[in-house]
Amino acid sequence: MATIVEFSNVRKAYRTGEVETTVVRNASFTIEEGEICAIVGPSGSGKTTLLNILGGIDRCDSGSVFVDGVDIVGLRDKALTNYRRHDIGFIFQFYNLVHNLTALENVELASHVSKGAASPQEMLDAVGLGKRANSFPSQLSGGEQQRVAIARALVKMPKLLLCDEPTGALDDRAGIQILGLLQRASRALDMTVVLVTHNRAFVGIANKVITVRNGGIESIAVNREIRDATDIVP
Amino acid sequence: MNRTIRKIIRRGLLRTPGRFIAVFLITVLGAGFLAGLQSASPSMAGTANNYFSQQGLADLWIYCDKGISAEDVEEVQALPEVAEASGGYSVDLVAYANSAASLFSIRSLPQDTTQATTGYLTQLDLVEGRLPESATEGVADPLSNLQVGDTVTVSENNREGSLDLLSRRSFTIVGLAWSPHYISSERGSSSSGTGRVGQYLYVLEAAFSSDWYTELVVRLTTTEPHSAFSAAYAQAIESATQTVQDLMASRADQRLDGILNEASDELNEAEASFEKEKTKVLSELEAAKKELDDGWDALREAQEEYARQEEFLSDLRAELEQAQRDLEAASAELSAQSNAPEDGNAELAAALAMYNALQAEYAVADLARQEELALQISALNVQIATLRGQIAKGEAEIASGQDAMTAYTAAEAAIATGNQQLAEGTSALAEAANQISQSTDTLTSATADYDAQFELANQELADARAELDAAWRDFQAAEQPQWIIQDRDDLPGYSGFSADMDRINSLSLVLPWFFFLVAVIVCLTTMTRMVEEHRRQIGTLKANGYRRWQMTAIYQSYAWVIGLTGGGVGVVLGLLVFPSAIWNSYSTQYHIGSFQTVITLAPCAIGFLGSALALSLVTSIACRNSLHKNAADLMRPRSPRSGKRVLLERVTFLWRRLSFSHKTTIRNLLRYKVRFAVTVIGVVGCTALLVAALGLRDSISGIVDLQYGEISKTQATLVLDSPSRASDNTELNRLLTGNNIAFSYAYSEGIVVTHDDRTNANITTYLLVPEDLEGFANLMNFRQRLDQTPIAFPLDESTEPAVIMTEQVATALGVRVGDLVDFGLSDEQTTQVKVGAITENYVYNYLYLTPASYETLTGEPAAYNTVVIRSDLEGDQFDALLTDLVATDHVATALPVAQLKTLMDLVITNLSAVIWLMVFSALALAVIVIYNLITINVTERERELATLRVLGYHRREVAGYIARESSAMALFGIPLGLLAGLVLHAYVMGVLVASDIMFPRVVKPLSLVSAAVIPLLCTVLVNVCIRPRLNRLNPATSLKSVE
Repeated sequence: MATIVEFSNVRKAYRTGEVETTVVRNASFTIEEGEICAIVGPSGSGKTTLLNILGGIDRCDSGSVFVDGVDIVGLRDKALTNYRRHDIGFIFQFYNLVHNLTALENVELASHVSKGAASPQEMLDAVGLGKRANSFPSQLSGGEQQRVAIARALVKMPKLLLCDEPTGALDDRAGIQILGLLQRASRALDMTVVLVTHNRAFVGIANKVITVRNGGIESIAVNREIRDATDIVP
Repeated sequence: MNRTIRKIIRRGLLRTPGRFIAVFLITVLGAGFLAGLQSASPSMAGTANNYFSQQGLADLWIYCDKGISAEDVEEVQALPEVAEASGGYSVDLVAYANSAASLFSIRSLPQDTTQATTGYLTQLDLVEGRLPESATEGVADPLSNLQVGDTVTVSENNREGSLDLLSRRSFTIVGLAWSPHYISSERGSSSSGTGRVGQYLYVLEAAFSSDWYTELVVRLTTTEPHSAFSAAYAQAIESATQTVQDLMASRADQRLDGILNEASDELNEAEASFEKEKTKVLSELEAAKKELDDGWDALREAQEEYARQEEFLSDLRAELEQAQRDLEAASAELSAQSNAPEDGNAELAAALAMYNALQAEYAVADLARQEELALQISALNVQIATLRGQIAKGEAEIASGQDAMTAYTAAEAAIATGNQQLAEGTSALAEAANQISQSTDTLTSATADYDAQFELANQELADARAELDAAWRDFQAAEQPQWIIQDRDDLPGYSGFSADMDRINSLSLVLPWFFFLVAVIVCLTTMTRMVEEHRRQIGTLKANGYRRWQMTAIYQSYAWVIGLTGGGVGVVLGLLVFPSAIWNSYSTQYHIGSFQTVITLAPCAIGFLGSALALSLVTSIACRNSLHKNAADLMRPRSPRSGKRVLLERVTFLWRRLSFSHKTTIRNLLRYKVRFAVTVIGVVGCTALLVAALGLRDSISGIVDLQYGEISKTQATLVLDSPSRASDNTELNRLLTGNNIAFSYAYSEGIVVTHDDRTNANITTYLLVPEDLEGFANLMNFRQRLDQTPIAFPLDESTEPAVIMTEQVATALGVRVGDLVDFGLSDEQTTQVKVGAITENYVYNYLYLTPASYETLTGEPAAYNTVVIRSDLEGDQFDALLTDLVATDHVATALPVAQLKTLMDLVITNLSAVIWLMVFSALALAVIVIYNLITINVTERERELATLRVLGYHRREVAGYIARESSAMALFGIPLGLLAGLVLHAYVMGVLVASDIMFPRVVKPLSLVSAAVIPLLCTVLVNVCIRPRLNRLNPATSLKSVE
């Protein structure tokens, strides 16, 4: 398997007034194409920052992040936007659907600007919401909303699917369903998935588990026994 | 209020400066507009009132057709309501100044001008020079082109009665001064000249010579505490007018008696002198007649004598001729007779010789022979005896012949004498004949003279009789003297000023509320948004046991801080800017002292406290929802307003066509209906204000284009010295026809038009009767405004005379075609006429009549006192032509149209301040409203926008996402705004109607385009300004929080 993501010596600090807080320091790791990589760690350990840097919605102060051979650290804003547009699918804890758009339209929001996007309706069918395509987010349950968000991320056929606590706002059952969906998607589309979670129970579905603590990488473990999401007992 | 709350309040103000500034500015705008505009009219009134009291402007002016006596003045002065009454003179006369004639209203100043600065009513406001000190000096109108040192010479062509009032004929200008009597550029109408007073001239009372004052000027005590234009003032005037009227009515009776007594004495005297004169004239005529008759008698006698003489002479001549003939016969006889005795003598001698011979023979001879001889001798004896008898007889005859000869000689002498006499008689007769013919001629002409004189004398007598009879009739019909009591409303321009103030007032009652309302709505959305944003803060405070009032205090204090500061700043700025800007726009038209902003409580209080109160109210509405909820609810994110299908989606085929982003835009627009409405109202308001402001400019400049481009082709009006007509052979007519000028003589007079149904509507305007209707058609284009249908002039007047009326008069009177109106000519006779047509017109109002109609209506032919002209020349060439025309004897002055164009340009320049003010306010409104909307949109949808960024939308696309919505609102609002603007413009134009000017309801396409483009540009500008904020948007942070 080819390496699709390569972090080397990534450092990120936030400055608030006089105080500088380093949230990521000396992060170096790789993610292989088609694998599910889980980034775990306690709150404030910097795992979301890593994900944001990878997703091109945050910038690191130093180091390099190669995605599919391109160092996104050096990209200008426009190129970075294009990178997000075509190569990245994002899933958030709070779905971030546009409330004023129907489920289908929320998916279209992504397919609209992306080259080589899949059919939004098919994608909704794939996440099992084909019949709710014309519902507004407020008419959907949390799990359903997250599935719309997944459909919106997947419809672009991104190189990377970045998930930031995708189950954080869901109950366990819905959470497991979402994980299953992600796992299926990864397998079916051979898609690289980066999953940020603080729930260790979920790492079972990942090929690789990166543990972060206080902004540094504590460990990188390869999961030998990959489990199906349905088998996870929270 | 504890420290935490105070801290929150302070930070609330500081942390969101954009919101603070937006709410502050819109408050400033709302309060400023309200306080400023609503203070404009009171400021105008206040300024005028100050000026009036400073200049001692009187309250009442009393006129009497029979003059005003010093006693009248005293009586009025004695009234308790009267502070001061004084008699004065005023007369309207045509006078020349710098060789141009103009109708002057000449008014008197008191004798002692030093006193004029203290107590005298109606003091002048000197601009230059000094007040007059002698009867030959005068103070001129600053609006005239007179300079100190110029001379004004009163024309002798004025009405005698008016002219006699003045004791001087020429005045030297020693100063220029404004008079409170004339607050506008209007100088009033007059019964003299063209009917339009050109300028005023103040001279000393000494320059007048009259037993009577022409006017009585009164200042009241009852009006002193009240401001001019106030209702209380009007009431005081009304009651004082009543009092004066009552006094005058009683005075009138006395006056009438006095006048009647005097008049009857005068009439009786006149009657007597008439009779005397008549007797004298008749006796003179009698004498002349007698003399003439005697002459004729003498002539007749002379003629008879002549005939007698002639007869005598011809008798004499016949006699003489007879005598001559007799004489000649006698003479012939006589000469024959004188031969006879000699023949007898010779015969006798021969007979004697023979007798002797015979005797001798006898003696010697035989008796036979003797016998024979005796016989012979006896025969001879007989013969001798016969002869002797004959001779004796002859000699006797000769002797008598001698007598006859003597008689003959005497007869001859007598004949000579007779002939002489005859010759003399004939020549005498010839002379007599000559004399007779001469005296016949003399007598004939004398008779003719006499006849003429007789006729004349009779005529004169008849005239005198008629005059006397008329005087008697007048005497019998003598009415009480007519008192006319006028108040300030009758001053030229005064009611116009009052109307202008009313207009500004009515504008100020509409426009500011417009702003105020928009401001309130904008603040409401902003405050609602703010409270919404602070939801969690409120929840936290509540959870920590803060009371509702404490939290209300946060927002209320925010509201009051902005309300009071914004309101205060707005009121101050508004008072500084609006009243003076509006005053400036009127300053060309009025001269009422220097402007003072009058701070009236109501608008300022409304502006200051009202904005604070409104903001406070708005805040409590905004807080109402949030503060009542319990803490837990507040801590939870508010469920976002769910999406809704819009009606358009039902039109599937159309909806599908829409691009994805357009769908979003439409849904978003309809999601927040209030916000949408507010923004659209803002855009509509901005556009409407722009249309009104730019349209104002168009309308004013449109006056010139329409009036002098399409309606009137007149280049100038010539005012004549004395009535004339085109057929007169004058230098003027030769010049006019020689220079290829289209012209028509016209009769023009100031009139007052009234309409029965509306008693208070009386319009002072002008009557124009063109002499040459065909020629006039080339100068004036009559048409209906709405459909541009041409109006034929003359109208079809087969049934009755009809008048063409300019639109503004018709509107003011509320009359339509077919209605009847009354118009009063200057001699106060009122004539009723049908309105035949209403014609589009913008500057100066006229009633047009044909000469025929005029004659039918008034009973006398029109006396053409003006000429309207148009030539092909322009600029300097035309000026040169005018100069030539004015130089002719007939033309008193010329009124070129170009002056009016210049005036209009001036008005536009002056109004441009107001226009820019409106444009600026409109822009401020648009910018604030749109900025507010966009900031709310951006803040509220930060998450949505961040999502878009995460999804790989470019900055431009995200900005477009926002811009599309505001542009859509702008595009939605602009057409509505254009419509609203046209309505607003029509309203403003209707309100702005000036006394002589109707503003065309014209908005040029360019203005409409500008009014549409400017709000769009504002939208673009605001969107450009918001870009950095969008760029700063960090998806990583904005997506982290819970929703």
